[in-house]
Amino acid sequence: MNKKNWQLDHPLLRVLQHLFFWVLSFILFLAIFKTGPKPATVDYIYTALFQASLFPAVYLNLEFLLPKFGTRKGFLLYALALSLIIILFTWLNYNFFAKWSATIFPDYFFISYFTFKEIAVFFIIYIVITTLLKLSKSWFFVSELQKKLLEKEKQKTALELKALKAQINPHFFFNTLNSIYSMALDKDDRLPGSILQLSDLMRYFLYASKDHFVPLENELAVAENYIALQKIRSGKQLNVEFLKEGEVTDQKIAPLLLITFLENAFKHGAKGSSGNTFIRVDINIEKEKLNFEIENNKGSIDEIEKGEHNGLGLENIKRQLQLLYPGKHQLNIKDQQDRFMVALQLSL
Amino acid sequence: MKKIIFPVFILMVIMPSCVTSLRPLTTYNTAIIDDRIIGTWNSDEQEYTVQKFSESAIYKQLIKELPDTRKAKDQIRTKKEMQDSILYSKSYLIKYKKNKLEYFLFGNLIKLNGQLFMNFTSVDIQPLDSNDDISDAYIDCINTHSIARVQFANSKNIRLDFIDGDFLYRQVKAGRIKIKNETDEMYDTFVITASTNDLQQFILKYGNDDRFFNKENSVTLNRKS
Repeated sequence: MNKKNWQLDHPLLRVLQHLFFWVLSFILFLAIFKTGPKPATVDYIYTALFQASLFPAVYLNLEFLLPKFGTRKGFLLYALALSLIIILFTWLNYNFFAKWSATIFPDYFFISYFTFKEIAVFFIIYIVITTLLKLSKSWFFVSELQKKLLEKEKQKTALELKALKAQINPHFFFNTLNSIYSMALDKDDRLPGSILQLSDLMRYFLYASKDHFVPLENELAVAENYIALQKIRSGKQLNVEFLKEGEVTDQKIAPLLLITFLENAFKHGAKGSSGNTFIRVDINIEKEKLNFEIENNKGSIDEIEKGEHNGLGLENIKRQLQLLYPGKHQLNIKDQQDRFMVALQLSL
Repeated sequence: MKKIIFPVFILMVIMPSCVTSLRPLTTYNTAIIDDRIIGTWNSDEQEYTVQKFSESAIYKQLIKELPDTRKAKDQIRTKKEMQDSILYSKSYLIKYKKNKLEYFLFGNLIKLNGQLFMNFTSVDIQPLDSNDDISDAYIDCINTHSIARVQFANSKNIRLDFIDGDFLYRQVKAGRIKIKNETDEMYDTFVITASTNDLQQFILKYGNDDRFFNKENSVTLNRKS
């Protein structure tokens, strides 16, 4: 139990709160009920007894009626039970002071100074005040719980995102390294540039992806690097069209979001196709709105991962969008016989 | 305090330590009639006459002294008021003579918890010798009330148990009684200032508690006629 919980929940503190309330009420009552300028012994006794008569009605309401019937459905029953309790305890209070107290306190002389209606008003006021106090206390509890829940939800989301990002195909790196190895053997001129691109990509994957949001221009630069590396890795003739329009500076996006779509396109298209492969990427940015379209033809030989990993990338991206862009995104996927199209609209 | 001393004095003649209240025990709606009280009564060689106020000479004199214009203008209202008013229709006039003075008291009966109580309030004092005039002393006095438990032993005896003022005052000083009051430390006296309703509530609860009615505060009246 943390410190905050201790402050609100601790039984000792609860007892002290109740004690404080009743002591305050006693002082107030005494000031109202006293006969002379200074309270006499009988005033203390009368006030204590009057206050004690309020206890059962107040606590019956707080501990039994309110928890059991204090719902919208049980309101009528609650109102009825509460009315009965008020009538019963008002009657008891009236008769106690008007008649019975003479037996218990034969040497102190007092009467019921209030009418039945006036006593009922006392009960109503005390029940209303204590109910409001309980409800406000409950509200603090609920608010505290909501905060905790929100915190847990945030932690859960962060963990989930971390896990989702970690699912970016690690094979990509191994395959790219293999391609670079081949290039090194062939003394290919593209080798230094490819190593640099891979280095940038890895840095981005390792560090930038830890943030919830990164500059859009970084994400696009990485996407271009990724395409370049994929071209090297595929070793086939690829027709990749990359169109970019609009102002990208000062815009932010969740990291690796677009890379996942690219990875998917390469997996389904370039990797699976025997020839005549194309991937078309069209990015349009308008006033904090990103329109992203990617289209690829589908390979005749499906080499992509089968079984439990099949479609994992897209499911991953859907979940990421739900977590990071709730109500701020629109994703359309068209899976046709020979081509695969994705259209994503994002409010940045 | 001076204003209430004189009415208190009248009652003190009957009962030395009875309690006085600024408010009456009875109201128009709660006062009752019990004509068994009407008659001439003796107690310790003192004679008391009790009659309906509406049949008394004072009442007749009051009517007679009303200005003719008012009588004519307000005849119906005045008559009705006089019949209905607690002062006239539900009050008894108690007269007695002592020390060359004739004392007049109002008595109103009320039944609480099956027990009869009488609220006494002074009305007037007249010198038996017409040359004496004490009426000025009575001007500007606030009427106070005294309460007694009324018990009819039989048709010839009435016992009046006055509330014991000394007992009440002791309780007030000890902080044992919760009733509105004003104390006068200079004369060591007190007067009850509680409302009529509170007085009735007290009588309802403690009307049978003999501690409130000391024997010394009791008077037994024997019917003379």
